[in-house]
Amino acid sequence: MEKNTLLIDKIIKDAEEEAESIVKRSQRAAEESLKLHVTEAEQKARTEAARILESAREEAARIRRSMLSDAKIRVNWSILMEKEKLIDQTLELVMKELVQFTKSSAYTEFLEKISIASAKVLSGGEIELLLNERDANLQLGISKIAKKVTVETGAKKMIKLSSERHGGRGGIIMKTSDGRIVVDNTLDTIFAHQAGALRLKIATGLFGS
Amino acid sequence: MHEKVFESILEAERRAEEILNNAQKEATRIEREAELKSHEVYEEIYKKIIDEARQDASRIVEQGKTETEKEVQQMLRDMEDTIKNLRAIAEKKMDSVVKLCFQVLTKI
Repeated sequence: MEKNTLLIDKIIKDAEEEAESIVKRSQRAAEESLKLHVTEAEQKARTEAARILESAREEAARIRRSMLSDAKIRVNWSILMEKEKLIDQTLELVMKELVQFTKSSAYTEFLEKISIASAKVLSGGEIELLLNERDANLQLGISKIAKKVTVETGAKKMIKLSSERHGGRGGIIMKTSDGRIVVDNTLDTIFAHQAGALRLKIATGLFGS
Repeated sequence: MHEKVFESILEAERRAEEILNNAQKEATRIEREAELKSHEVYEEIYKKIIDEARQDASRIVEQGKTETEKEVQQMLRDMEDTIKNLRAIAEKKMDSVVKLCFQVLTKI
């Protein structure tokens, strides 16, 4: 009877041990599975996170390049605009200087010289000289101019002061009596023709380039 | 007497089988729960790391913008100084340049 009880106890005990072993194995497997998933999640997420951060660094670098490039353009443009302003300011002063010049004693001599130079390039014997209203009152040696041109060109030239007036701030217009050839040497036209070259000269003078 | 013993053994075996069946069911439940838990943990960990990375990424971009903006402001301040110097130097030279231009225009 004692022997049988032992056998029964052993059957139950073995079953309980086996059951415990089954549950423990299962728990270990569950823990392993959890660990594996954690590791996998971390690995995958770290790889993706590295990509996100790299992309952010590239984006930051791109924004930086763009902002600095815009700023450089803005700086260069502002400096260029300032230079243009200074050149315009200088040109205005040049024009003022020219206007001032028309009130000086040297101006009459200038008109005579420019008249000679203008008459030389005109063909035909009879030439009209146009002045502005104010300069028409100056005492220009017109016959002296005509004589000098005739001597220097070897062709007889007759110059007469036209009753027509030009609207410039000074200088002269000369034209053949038939009006076919006109030489405009008003100060305004001279200034306008030279403006491009003057801007360059002014830039070099003011900024050294 | 023998019959009773035999009956006891059979009963013990039935009991043992029941214990093992219950253990197997418990094991299956544990594994199923573990499977679900693993997926949840996977998602949680992945999301947490990615969220942190996205926040860091935003910080990197914003910090980059802020630092560059400071550089830009410095560039603009330097530009103001450059323009002031440019104007000062140009104004000193302006009279002589005006004279030079005047000579060019009145030279015959």
